Amino acid sequence: MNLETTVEEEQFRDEVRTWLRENVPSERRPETEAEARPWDLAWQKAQYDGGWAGVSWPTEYGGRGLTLIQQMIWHEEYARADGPYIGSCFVGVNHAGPTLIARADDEQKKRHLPKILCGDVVWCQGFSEPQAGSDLAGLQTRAEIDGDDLVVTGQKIWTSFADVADYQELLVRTDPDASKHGGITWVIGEMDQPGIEIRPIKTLDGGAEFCEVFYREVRIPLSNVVGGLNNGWDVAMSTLGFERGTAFMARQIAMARNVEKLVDLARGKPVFGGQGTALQDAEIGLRLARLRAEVAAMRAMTLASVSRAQRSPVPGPEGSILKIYLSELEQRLRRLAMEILGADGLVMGTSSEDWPNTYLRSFASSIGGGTTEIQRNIVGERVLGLPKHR
Amino acid sequence: MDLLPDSAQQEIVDTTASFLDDVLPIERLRTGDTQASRPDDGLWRQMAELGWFGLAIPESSGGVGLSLVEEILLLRELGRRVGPLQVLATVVAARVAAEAGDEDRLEALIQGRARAGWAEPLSSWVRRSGVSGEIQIYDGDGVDFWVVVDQDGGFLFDAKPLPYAPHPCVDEFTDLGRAVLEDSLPCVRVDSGPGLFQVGALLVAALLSGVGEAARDQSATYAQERKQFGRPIGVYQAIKHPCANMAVRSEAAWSQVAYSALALRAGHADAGFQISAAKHLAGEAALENASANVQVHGGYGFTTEYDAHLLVKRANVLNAVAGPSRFHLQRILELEPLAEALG
Ligand SMILES: Cc1cc2nc3c(=O)[nH]c(=O)nc-3n(C[C@H](O)[C@H](O)[C@H](O)COP(=O)(O)OP(=O)(O)OC[C@H]3O[C@@H](n4cnc5c(N)ncnc54)[C@H](O)[C@@H]3O)c2cc1C
Repeated sequence: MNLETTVEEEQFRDEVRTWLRENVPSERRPETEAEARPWDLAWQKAQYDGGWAGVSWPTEYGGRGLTLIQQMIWHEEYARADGPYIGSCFVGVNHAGPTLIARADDEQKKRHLPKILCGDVVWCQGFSEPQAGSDLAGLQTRAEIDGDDLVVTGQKIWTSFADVADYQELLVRTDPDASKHGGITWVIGEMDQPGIEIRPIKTLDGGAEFCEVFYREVRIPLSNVVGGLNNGWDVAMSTLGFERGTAFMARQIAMARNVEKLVDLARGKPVFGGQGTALQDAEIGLRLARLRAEVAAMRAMTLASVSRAQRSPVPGPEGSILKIYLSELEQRLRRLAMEILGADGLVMGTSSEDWPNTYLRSFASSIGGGTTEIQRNIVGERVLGLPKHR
Repeated sequence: MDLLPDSAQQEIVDTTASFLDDVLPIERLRTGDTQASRPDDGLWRQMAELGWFGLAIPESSGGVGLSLVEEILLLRELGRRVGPLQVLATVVAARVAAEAGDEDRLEALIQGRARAGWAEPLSSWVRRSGVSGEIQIYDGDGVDFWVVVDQDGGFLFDAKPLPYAPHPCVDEFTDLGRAVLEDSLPCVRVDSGPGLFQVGALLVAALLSGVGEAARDQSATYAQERKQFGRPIGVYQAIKHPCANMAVRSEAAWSQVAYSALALRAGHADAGFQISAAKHLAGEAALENASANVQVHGGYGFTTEYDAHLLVKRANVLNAVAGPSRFHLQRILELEPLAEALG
């Protein structure tokens, strides 16, 4: 056990820090999806040109092939440099890309991976359906084989960035008679095909990040199937634990910084009808102290997770523990901010980074990517060995 | 950077665990025999031979020459089995003797010829050449020394001549007593600043981590064995989710304990902050997990025939010593935090 970093790691940190300082865009990321798309892609391209695209991707696919410690250093410095939210490039770089690397054939890899990495295309994830959210394997969108094509009919929902995406990772039911998990196929969909209709959904925080997507006899060539027909559940699951805590690194540092911003806010905020500042209020002070302690633990848990990953290449379920902890921490932080702000907290900010906006946004953190309840099932069953409900 | 034990450290964990399962399993407390909680002289000497009381003392002073990182691994295992507080007290007492350069007492403690109990001032504490004030003593009946650490350093008191009033403890497996000191002279005294108090808080946090983990594991086992409505109760989410919450709290607590031990050993400027976070989180995990564990056990949880009650009681004792949560949260608010994390 030790906290030491090697000379090489420190040199690497310097290199990262210098590059980020010189290249992180100074202007703010646009707020609407349509304006954000070219901006996100330009930033992805800048990282590609600088040799920093795909930090976790293997070098043979053009990635940077960093070790986990190096990835952690990258994410830490990225957060410290106020690097922008990855936005519409998220699915391509962090989910579809890694899935293709793990399961696609050479032709598919050659066709798609370089475009994702250099910021040519936006991907989205068409998994959830109106009747299949937590119970994802209950998905009903049908795909029938007709000649060399799949013909897709059905509906997806909550598809983030669908309205600005070029491609999607799409889960469809190809064998309705097979077992629930057995008849699903993972296929590469193109978003500009005839028969696809996209309707943005207004979200609780005033944005329109996700969409409903309708499919009416949409033709997708069979050559777009990844990992074999009816094998889609396995393909989708193979990248589920892919991130191993690295996904949380940037958010964890951002959270530490946000807690300190909140302490500063409380320091300057007079209490309602009384004397002194919010920070001097005993209860608020203790809640801020708790947040500081929990942010420290979040960092320690991330280090523990990276240490575990270095010993065993097989991802464990500990990512669920991190996700539960992080989303609850985030929600407590945002809620405390609203309490400290009082009446001032009711004025919506002009930026999505303002306190009221981030408060509203924080409701998503225990829903997206698998709800907290589902994560608790996973921890109960796979960490503690409790029996499954089914 | 590595937050998990290396192979030598893992060996310490494994030998400690199997030794404790042999000689101090938690089942020993089921008889209700409160004496069973404290090791007899033979067992105490065996612990000394394993090096427990001098793990972090340099070899040149008769210790094992490791560090407080190995000590937290040991105390976590002890915490899981509701082990005697005398081990904590003696480990810290040896440090106080070592810092004071008191070779005779250090040797007696390391070799298992002398034991210490843990003591803390109850209220105001006047520190001149002698010390005045009332202290509360844990597992200090009949021992040689009482050890006290505070923000300014540490003391050993020769326990024999001091007045000792026993009190029944919420945790029947902790000996509780009080003594009123009136200008009493410690036999060993160091004025070395907050370092000893930090070590004490960290080691108690390690014990607390063990208690929280034991509660988590008892619940997980019981939820698989106990059947109601024809199914193991662990199937029901009203049981499963509290168990998952225990796993989350324990992961946070232990990770933070391990991190803060490493930060203290490496001399990081924010070590005090990190330790306060560890003590607070480990205390909360122990208390919350142990309480939920009683509920998972239903009526059996309310008996002394199952082990669930032991953990709630021990969690309360450990939560109260080495600074309660409230104290550490105040420190966290005052200290400049997260120098490492914020860059
Ligand atoms: C901001 C955001 C972005 C998203 N982006 C995408 C995307 O890009 N692509 C995509 O495919 N999906 C996306 N999702 C969808 C997300 O994965 C689902 O919302 C999520 O899996 C929950 O499904 P659901 O909404 O149908 O809720 P339901 O599954 O209906 O859940 C409703 C409630 O019931 C609880 N519940 C359900 N089953 C159980 C159970 N077995 N045990 C205990 N409790 C249970 C849930 O925890 C929840 O509280 C996004 C969601 C959000 C909020």
